[in-house]
Amino acid sequence: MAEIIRLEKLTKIFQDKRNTTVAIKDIDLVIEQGDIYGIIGLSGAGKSTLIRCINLLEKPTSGAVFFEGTNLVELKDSQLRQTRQKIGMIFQNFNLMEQRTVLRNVLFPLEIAHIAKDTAKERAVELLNLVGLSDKLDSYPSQLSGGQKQRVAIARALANNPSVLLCDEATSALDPSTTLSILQLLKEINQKLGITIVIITHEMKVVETICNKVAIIDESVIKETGLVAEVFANPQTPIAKNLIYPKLGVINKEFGSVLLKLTFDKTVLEPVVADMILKTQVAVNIIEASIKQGDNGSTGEMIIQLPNDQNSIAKVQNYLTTKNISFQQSNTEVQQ
Amino acid sequence: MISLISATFPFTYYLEQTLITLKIVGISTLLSYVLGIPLGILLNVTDKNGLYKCRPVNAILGAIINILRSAPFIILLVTLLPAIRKLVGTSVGDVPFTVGLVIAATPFVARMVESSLKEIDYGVVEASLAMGASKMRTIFTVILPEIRSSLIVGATISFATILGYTAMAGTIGAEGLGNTAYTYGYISSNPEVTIICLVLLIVIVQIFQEVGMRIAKKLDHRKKGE
Ligand SMILES: Nc1ncnc2c1ncn2[C@@H]1O[C@H](COP(=O)(O)OP(=O)(O)OP(=O)(O)O)[C@@H](O)[C@H]1O
Ligand SMILES: [Mg+2]
Repeated sequence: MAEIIRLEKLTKIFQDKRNTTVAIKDIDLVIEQGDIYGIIGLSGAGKSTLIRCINLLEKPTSGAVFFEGTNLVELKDSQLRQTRQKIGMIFQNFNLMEQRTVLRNVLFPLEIAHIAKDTAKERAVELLNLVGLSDKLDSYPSQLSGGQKQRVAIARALANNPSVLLCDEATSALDPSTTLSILQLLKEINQKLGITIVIITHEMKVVETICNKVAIIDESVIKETGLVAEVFANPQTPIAKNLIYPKLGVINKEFGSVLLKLTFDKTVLEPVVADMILKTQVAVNIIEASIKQGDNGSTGEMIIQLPNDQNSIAKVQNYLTTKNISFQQSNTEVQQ
Repeated sequence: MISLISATFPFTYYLEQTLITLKIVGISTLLSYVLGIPLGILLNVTDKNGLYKCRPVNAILGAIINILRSAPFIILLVTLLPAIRKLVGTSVGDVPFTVGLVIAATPFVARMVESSLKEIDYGVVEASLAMGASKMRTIFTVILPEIRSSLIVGATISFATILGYTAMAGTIGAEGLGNTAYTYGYISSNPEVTIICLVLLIVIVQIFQEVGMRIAKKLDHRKKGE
């Protein structure tokens, strides 16, 4: 796939009279067309600064930001504004104009691009349709729920047919089920419209749910990058391990060294774990579980520990595969 | 009350003075806003987190405004009037007073506008810039429309302040209710004249405030329901 964004030695230092803060340091990152690229890190790691440097909302102290081959840092103001129309952005707090209706919010970027009124209105309505808000054209943002506001923001960000959509903690202000619906919408946009998506988040769940690639940022630098499946299966750095298997206590390594992280994303009606133990006759150790009971079944995650016995491990894996439950494997050595 | 009014001045006299007061206050408020809005915007955008951050401009403009605002109105007016009369060329009529009022009220209005501008959520400004809007477009098509209700509330407060100034200016010759209250009420010891003028001034302020607040509320879509 062709690369669409390339960051080279990107550094941003905030300086005022008293403090010097290195927010990001020597960041090298390549994002390819069609990616849903997750950038994850703890609070203060530099995530927001990084994504804001991509469209130059924050002016990097040094380094380069290539977008479709052009170094944005070298552009004149007017050229940069032109380019920004091709880079959509959504925010944690939605940032809608409260005194404009939903429709007029989506019209705003089209006004900037000097699109004729009729064409612009058609386009805006079409986009609001896409995000499922065709009945809210004349509502004001204050009359919408958080999820609906973010949908308006998404429609607005897509108005000028951007090739990239930047999302800064776009679901952090939403409840879990709304988060999921917004993530699904983003995935749809990525697949149907071919728009590359960059997602900043501190929630592993977000990366797991929709990203194909992930970068882990900690203390202003990128510690690890790669395909989500690979990084999750085999995290290399302490911070990556921490993010992927958070808050696990002491694990009895005598029992076994293999951990499985099960994800119940499709709703589960049967008592799977009990059934698994009965069918496979393997005694598993449940390390952690966060399962939610919904109206039509359970969703959530569970981490289980398996005994050190290849046969048992294979049986459990087999069972899970036939039941269509996704899982990831790692070693207890992963925990430091 | 009716007999009191007819005892000194006919009803039409008060109506006439009320209209004169409204004219002077209206024109002064309008002109103060014509000057005060750009100055308020300039104050805001040159400030430390502003779109066109520029400390020197902000500091100088801020200092001038603070000095003008520290001067008691009536002293400022008598200091400026001779120069204004020379400049304007008329020694009669409302023009010199109006100019004086505008000079005194503009700094007040600029601060009112500046404080309204502080209400904008900076995230909205960033979203606009991220969409490729210029800073100027952002100021005029995002920031100002977003804070319009606050600007209108500010305008009703400014109107009341300028009305107060006009009444004070009445003591040194500006026409209107203030002058009537002072000359025919206070100097000529007709307390009923003073009281009638006072009531009329209060009524004017109340009407404008009520109307202003209603418009502001009507134009504000931030709150649910209303
Ligand atoms: N405008 C600014 N001025 C000074 N320091 C800043 C500024 N913006 C960010 N920083 C500092 O840069 C560092 C990285 O901040 P950033 O907002 O990028 O973190 P983050 O990973 O997005 O955190 P969070 O998850 O809390 O949003 C922090 O130490 C922060 O205090
Ligand atoms: Mg952040």
